[in-house]
Amino acid sequence: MKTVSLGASRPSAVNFRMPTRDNLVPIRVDVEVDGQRYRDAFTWNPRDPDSEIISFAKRTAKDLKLPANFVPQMLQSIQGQLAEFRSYEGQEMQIKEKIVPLKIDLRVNNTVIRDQFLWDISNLDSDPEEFVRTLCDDLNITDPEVGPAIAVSIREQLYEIASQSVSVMREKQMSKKGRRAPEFSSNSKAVNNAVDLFKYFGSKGSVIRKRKEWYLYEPVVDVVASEEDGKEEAEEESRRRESCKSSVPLIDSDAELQS
Amino acid sequence: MSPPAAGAAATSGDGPPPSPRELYTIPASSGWFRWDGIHETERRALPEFFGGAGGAGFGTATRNPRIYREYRDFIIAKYREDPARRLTFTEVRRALVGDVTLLRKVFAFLDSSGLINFSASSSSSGPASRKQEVGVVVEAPVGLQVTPRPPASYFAEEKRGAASGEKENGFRLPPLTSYSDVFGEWAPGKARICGFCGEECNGAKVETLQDGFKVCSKCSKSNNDNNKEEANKCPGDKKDCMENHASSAWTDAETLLLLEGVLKHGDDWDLIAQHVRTKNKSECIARLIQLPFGEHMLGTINGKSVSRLHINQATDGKTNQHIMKESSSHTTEMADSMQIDGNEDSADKSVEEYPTKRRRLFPSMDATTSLMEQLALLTTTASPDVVAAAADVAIKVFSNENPQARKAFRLSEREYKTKAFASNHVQQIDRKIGDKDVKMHGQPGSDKQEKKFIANAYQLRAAVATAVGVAAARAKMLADQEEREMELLIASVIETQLRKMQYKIKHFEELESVMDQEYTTIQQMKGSLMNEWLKNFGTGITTTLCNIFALLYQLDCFGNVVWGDVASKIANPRVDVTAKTLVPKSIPSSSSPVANNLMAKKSKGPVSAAAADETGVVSPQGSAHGSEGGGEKEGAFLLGEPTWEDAGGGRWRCAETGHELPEREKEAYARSRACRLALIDHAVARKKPPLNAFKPHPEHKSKLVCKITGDTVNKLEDHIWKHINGKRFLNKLEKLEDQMASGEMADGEPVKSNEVAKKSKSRKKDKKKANVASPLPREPKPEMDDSDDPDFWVPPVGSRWDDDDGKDRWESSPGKPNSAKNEGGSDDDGGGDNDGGDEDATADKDDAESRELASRTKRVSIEAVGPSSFASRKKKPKKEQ
Repeated sequence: MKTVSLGASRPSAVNFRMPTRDNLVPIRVDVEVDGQRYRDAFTWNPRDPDSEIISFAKRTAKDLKLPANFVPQMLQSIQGQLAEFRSYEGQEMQIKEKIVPLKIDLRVNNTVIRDQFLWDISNLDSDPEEFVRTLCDDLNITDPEVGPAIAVSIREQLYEIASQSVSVMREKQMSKKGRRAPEFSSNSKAVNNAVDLFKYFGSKGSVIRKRKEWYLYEPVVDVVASEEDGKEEAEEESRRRESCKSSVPLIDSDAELQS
Repeated sequence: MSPPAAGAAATSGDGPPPSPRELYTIPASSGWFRWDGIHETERRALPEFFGGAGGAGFGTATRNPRIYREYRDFIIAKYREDPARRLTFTEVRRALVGDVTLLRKVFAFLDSSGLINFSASSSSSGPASRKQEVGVVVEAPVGLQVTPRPPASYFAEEKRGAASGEKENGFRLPPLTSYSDVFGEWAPGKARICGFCGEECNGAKVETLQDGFKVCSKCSKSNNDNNKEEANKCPGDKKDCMENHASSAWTDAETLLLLEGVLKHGDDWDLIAQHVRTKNKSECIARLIQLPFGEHMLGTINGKSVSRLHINQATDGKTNQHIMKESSSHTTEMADSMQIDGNEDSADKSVEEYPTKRRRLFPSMDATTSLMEQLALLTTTASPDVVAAAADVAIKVFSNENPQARKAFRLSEREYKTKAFASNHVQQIDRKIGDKDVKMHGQPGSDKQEKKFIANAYQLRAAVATAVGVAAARAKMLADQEEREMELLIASVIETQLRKMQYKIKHFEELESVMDQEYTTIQQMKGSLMNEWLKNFGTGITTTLCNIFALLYQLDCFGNVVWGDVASKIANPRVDVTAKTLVPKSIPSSSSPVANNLMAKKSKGPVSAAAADETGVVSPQGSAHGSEGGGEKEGAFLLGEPTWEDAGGGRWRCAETGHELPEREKEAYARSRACRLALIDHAVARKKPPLNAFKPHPEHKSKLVCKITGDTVNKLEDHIWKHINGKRFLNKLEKLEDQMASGEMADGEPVKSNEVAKKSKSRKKDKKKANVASPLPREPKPEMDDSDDPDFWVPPVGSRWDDDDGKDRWESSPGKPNSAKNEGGSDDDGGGDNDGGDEDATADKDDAESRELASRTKRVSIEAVGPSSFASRKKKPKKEQ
């Protein structure tokens, strides 16, 4: 599917940032030391001084009663991800009106949530946390860990798209020098499966979805009984182990794009 | 469609809702809503759709008014399908395509503006809530109930700490406070926590009481038995304070233990929990927060020492409060008993009103805060002296009222003497009274004590009166002060006003004086203008008179005047004076304009030349124009007519070419090219000025070479004219003249240089003399004078043309007879032969006189010089140098 840009949507280049209101970077930490494993996901403000990281890591280790040798690994992991983010900063990314479907498939504690919704990449005023808060309120999800986990998942997907748009931009500039300008050179799924704006937002389309598609965009929440916890987790763990080497493991949840 | 008035009932007539004739009651505040339009409120609230600040510009693909209307209409219609049910955003978004952020904004706007969910019950009854019942067992740890939600910025950082649904009360957690720091160990997945004992009950059975509160089996058993000492933990008690069930579970002993623990261990909650023993960590935290000073303490939890300090203070406060409570209950009793006495109605009334007032002033003050405390507080605000005086007065009044009271006071006075008074002794009195009351209440009965009780009652009354008196005094003082201040302010206001008025008056005075000055200056200007006008008028007359005198003078000189000229000059004083005055002098008989014209046409006679020179008309040009009209090129008739000789028989012969022709063809021939060429050749050959400056070109028959500049010029009169009027030629000529002049000066011919220096006026005179009396010696001048323009004829080498004499001057042949005749005529006219003789005789003598005359006329001519004289004027001053 290719993005059909309507007349008024002009692509504009801005300096790289998270395409959200708060420029918070999603960070995932997965550290294993001496058979103990620490997995966590949170957001980090890249403007914060790096000295905060070490204090954060120490604090976390203390709170979770983890041995002290976790700290350097955590530090390294967080710093690495922040460094990656900062390497994008300063480069330009293309902001074009583009609506992409984001998919959520998470398991947090006892809650399993699957959801799909559309997100406008160019809306720099978006706020995943606020969205998730509404979602949790609406679904009466009271587990305080679910919301943040979803928010981090959203941020991760946005981050991926944003970083791809940087590389697209770079490629474009390269190819401009070479006098060739392929409109779309990335084969990324997340970039390419953008919603056909014209289909829905054009004068003939309707923004009201067909009733039979509603279930696709509806959040589904399941609560797994605690007895199954161990089993499920183990299952999931094994599945993850065999299926993916690249995807980042989470502390208790997983976000993956459904195909 | 929807009248926003009473009740604001809106019918959704033609809108998308499925049942078109339904009646909805919408809030009056959203009466602006229309199905078929977009209201300004919507535009303002959601600028993204309307090209506002938040949007990427008007009409992007996904954000435009049309899309907005689709969203809006759908959401409202969706809600109206079942108005009793609360519509959630999550329900809506599955049916709408678009950015969820944007959708959420629209939804929030519609929700807040009362277009949806207005009549839904506040408790959500969506399908989601049904599922939830199974899901969450313990909604939140007990401690969370008093925990405010962290601000949004911290929300992201410590997501785990996010406890929804708590109200925000404004205190901030220090940065990077971890969840377990604040909330203790709580893992929702691990185990359930008993609402009573707070212990985890792994695997143990959990019982749910009818109010939804969970208890572990152990506790519930003990509850059922109901014979344990935790009487305050009974369900009845708990029902009373469902909200605060955690705090109700705390005994005083436990609280004390908790405080001790906090004191000892700071913020190490594990240790504190161990210290308390019966409670777990989170409960301890919750309890501490619930304590009245908890918030205060948390705000400064940063350092352990600081927090400890605060806890110390807080503990003190706590005990203080307890004491206060006790005493307050007594004092109210006392006040009641006093009221029975009914002696001091007003005072009592004010006492009764007092607490409410205080409360209004200090809303933080508890209702339980003691009256005495407040009194004490009040008295401390006044100075000790005032209090003492007030107390004295109060005691005096009381003693007068009742002798018993006097006794009582005397008694107490003795008692007080033993004690040292601090500055705030009244407060101490109050305290003492309170304490005594407590004591007395403990053992009422004995007589002595009753006496003391009465005394104490009086003392209390005295104290109250003192306080009231103090308050009154203070109030009076304040009122006085206020009054004084008011007076002062009013005085200052009046003063300022007065000053303002004065300033204004001053300003107006200044303005007036300025006006006066201006008036006088205008008057002066008027006077001076008048004077000037008069002066001008006078000078105008005098100049006219001067002219007349000049004329008269000339008349004297030549004895000859043309009265018409004089008349014309008087009538028109600005006309060129020189020309007019000169004409009568030189040609007294002719009427000047005619004579001028005639002469210019006929020949370059000396007179006309002089006149022309004076008026600034360059003669060749003037003559050319005069004779040929404007059609010819400038200078085309530079050489004038050929010389005709009468060949007899009505035929004429051209002197230069020898051509014979009948009279009627003379004109045509004179213009013919052959004739002109012949004339030029002739003039060049004879070195006639101005062609004496040229010599024939050695190679081309049709060209001439200028001797002065060395240029080659076509043998055409207009070309020659152009050349000799050119800048180059004139410049070179000037230089030559200078050379010549200096050379002649060296020759010891001052007269000549004089003549050269003098303008044409004098030349004319000389020339006239030359004409009339040609054989004047020592005069190379006449030749010079004969030529009409010194520019042209002044020869490069003086000696060469000296030979020419006057005879073969280029203009002389046709013009000479004429001018001579004229002159002769003028002479005749003027004074006859006599004059001529006179002139001859006086020629030498006249030299000086003529010079003087010349200089005078020159002055006049310079005054009255016209633009046409520019060329000649330009060089003259230079020559003079």
